[in-house]
Amino acid sequence: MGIIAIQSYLIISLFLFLMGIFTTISRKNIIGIFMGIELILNSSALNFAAFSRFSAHNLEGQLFSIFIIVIAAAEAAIALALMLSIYRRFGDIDADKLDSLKG
Amino acid sequence: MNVEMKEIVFFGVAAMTMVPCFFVAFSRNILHSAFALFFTFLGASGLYFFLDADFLALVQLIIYIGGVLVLLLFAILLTKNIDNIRSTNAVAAKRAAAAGVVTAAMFGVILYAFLASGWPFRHSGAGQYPAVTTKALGKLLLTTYLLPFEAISILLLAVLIGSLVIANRSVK
Amino acid sequence: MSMKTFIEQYGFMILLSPLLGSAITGLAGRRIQKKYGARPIGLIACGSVLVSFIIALAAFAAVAGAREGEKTIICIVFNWLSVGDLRADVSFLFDPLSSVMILIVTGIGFLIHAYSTEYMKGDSGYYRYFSYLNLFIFSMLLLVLGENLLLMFIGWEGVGLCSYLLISFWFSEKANAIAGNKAFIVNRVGDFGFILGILALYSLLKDKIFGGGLVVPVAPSLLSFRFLAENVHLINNIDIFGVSAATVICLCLFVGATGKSAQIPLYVWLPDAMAGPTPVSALIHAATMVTAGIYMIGRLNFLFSMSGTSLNVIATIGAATALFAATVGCVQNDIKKVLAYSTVSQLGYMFLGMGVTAYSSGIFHLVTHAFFKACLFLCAGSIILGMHHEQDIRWMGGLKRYMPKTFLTFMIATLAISGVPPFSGFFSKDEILWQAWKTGHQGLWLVGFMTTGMTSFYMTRLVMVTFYGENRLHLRPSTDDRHDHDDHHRDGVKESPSSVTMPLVILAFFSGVAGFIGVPAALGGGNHFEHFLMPVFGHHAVAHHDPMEYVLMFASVAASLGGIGAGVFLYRIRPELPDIIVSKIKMVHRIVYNKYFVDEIYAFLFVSGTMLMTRVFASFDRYVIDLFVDLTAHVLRFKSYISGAIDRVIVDGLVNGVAESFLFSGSQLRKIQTGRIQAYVMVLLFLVVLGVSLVVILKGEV
Repeated sequence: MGIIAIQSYLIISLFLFLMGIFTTISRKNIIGIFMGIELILNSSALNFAAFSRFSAHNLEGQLFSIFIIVIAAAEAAIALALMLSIYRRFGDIDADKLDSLKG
Repeated sequence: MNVEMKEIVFFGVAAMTMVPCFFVAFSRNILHSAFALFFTFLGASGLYFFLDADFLALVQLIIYIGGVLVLLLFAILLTKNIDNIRSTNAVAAKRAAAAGVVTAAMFGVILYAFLASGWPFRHSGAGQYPAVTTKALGKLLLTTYLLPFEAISILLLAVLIGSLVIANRSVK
Repeated sequence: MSMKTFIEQYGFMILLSPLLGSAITGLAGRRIQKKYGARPIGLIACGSVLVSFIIALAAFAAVAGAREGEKTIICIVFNWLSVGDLRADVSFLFDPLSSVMILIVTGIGFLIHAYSTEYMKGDSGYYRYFSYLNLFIFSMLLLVLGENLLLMFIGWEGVGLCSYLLISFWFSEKANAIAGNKAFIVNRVGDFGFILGILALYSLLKDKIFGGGLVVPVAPSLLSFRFLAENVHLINNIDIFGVSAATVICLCLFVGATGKSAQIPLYVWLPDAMAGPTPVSALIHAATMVTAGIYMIGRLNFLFSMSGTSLNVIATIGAATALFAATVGCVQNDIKKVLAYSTVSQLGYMFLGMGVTAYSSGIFHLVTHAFFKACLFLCAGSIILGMHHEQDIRWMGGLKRYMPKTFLTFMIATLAISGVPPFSGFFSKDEILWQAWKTGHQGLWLVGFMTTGMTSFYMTRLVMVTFYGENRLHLRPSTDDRHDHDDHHRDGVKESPSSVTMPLVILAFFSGVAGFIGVPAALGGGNHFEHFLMPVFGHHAVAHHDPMEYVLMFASVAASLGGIGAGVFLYRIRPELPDIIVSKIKMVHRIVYNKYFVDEIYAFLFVSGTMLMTRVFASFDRYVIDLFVDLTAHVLRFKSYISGAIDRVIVDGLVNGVAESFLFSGSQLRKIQTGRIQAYVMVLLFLVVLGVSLVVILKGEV
């Protein structure tokens, strides 16, 4: 078994996932958080495609990946709109300062 | 050990995917983060090629790099003054420690899942994986998965309208 | 390049030309009209249809000139759909049937375009009108030439749309808009049946062809007429709810046909459709669009022939409609209404012909009817122009003197529709009646026979009242807002200009002679028309001479002459008689004059039915549901009174203590609610980890 196997893909996608989580939690800037989310989505899409190739031998996993990518795109569009809206409202996109919901 | 050329390339692509993740996570300059993200996406696309998922790889290139990343850059451009960009992507120090703990815990859980499910991995199923996926994918999308396809079309339409509405709303 | 290859390669131009015309006049028409006046618009519209007509002539020549057995020319434009098992091409079918149809559509269409340039002069919506008209020609050609049912359906919907647009062309008046809506909605009911039929046919055939595990390298175009003709026998033994599949499909398709071709029960839109401009009535509601249903049955004759039940239904409905509409036509006073009911009646004839499997006779009548009905409508338009937009025949009369050309052409068309030999209507109508008799439908023949008499009666009435006697325009009760207008025009009845009368003359000529293309063998003719259509409809048994045929022929001529005689007698010689008769049978007259109250019945059944249902539901709400709700409320009130007493005494003390403790813990816990999204993410992930760990610990392993 060469290194082009499902284990490699799982490791890569695990790495992407963990980095995504770390980024999402630790960043202050909303755009940074958004990047973390993109990493997480990417890792799961990669996982689906890998299982589709090595385990199920059919294309349905790839379909899920496509749907994930499309949803990521949709999310990006909404995120941009929200960021602009937030920036105009608060003059800043620091997540720490957006605590209107603080109890 | 007999290392083939293909595997060397694969290793390079994997590295190209993973290494920039550090920059995404730790760089203080948001533009650097975005640039690193570009390489991660590019690497992921390469990984798809290694999975014989040609269509998916192209979709990754077009949508992530052509769409998401450009949107991201626009977001950076439109929300921050360009001169104080160096310190824009700060890490909240206290939370970074907590984030590390959470990440480590997640790592533990997933590692356990890997091991419990029988690492090394068992093969199952023996279907023929198609050499060219685009046509087969199109057929699946328009037959078995027509409903999700239509649903996602509606989602995209809603996003199109919704993002316009959100971005256009004037601040009172 | 031979004619055939020309059609194979460029046949689609016949559709492209009116589509382009429509696009130009529709998109740029307003500007053109403002800048250069109406003339270029008329030229573009007429020119585009003329191009179509020339190509149609070429196609006809190609089809007619082809050798026996090669009379089908297919023009494939591109592959339209190729998804899974579904395949459809955009391709056009030129065969004897469709080449005859396109000649009618483009030929009469062109004449009506030319006529309209005069009729619509001065209308601010001139460009809009011609854009719709061109679009209509395009849709009709698509319907006729489409090589598969999907294309036909698009054309089918297209003509429905255009008729809606044209009926409510003068939409600023509410009645017109309502008439347009009615046409559209009634057609919608029919179209629903049509598409159900298509879907049923498709799914059954698909099961048969792909169900057997048969792997076809390229999916065949399932709904193309060629494929259907060869494979439709596959659904022969399938039953749907105990009825043979062919019958179900045919009846569904026939529902579509009744909608478009104005048969019982969906004919109600056609008389109202007269709200549109008169040339529109001529083109759409007489000559072309309403023939769509006939054409569809002719095109799918192999399918309909499989189901005797549905053929009987078609023949019966056709005959019933013919008689029914003829009776209504006898008493209407609006010239266009009379002609509209006459159209419904004649369409009934065609369906009768289709139903007795005399497909070529039905199409023959379609052709002759297209000529004389278009002529009649255009004459009516000319009269309306001359009478300054008066449509009520009671105020006409004596027009023979003022409008000689219109009178002459109207006369010829009347003789043609009445079935007087040797005018065209005689041959086609007689052919249908004879076929009905021959196939053993004597009852239907009788109905058709009676209708012949009535047809000639009401047409004669129209001629007598309109063209003979004294002009009664001055007797018209004028309303105030029309008064000045009337004085100005009272004696201004005059013949229409030549661009109006020219099409009339041409159409009248064809109404006169078109019958000779199908002279039956019994009269020494060769029945060329039937021979020409034979590749589509198959061979009829060669009719040996039957003396009965002459008897029937004589009978129907006698009937039409009798109808004419009665009309002349009642409305020319003894004009006081009709009023006396009407007063004798007042009740019957009222019912027939009001079209048997069908509109009212529909309004009662479907419109008030819906209203009634809402009222029933409302009262159900008020009396049943509200009762329950009130009852529950009372019970609850009693219960709460008791529990209230308990509460006050026992629980309150306890509760207050608990509340205090919650207040305290709440004030502590609110510090967790940071409002920071990342803190929440963190907690969420911790909980995931915790949950997984718990599962692992409790179960031992995953």
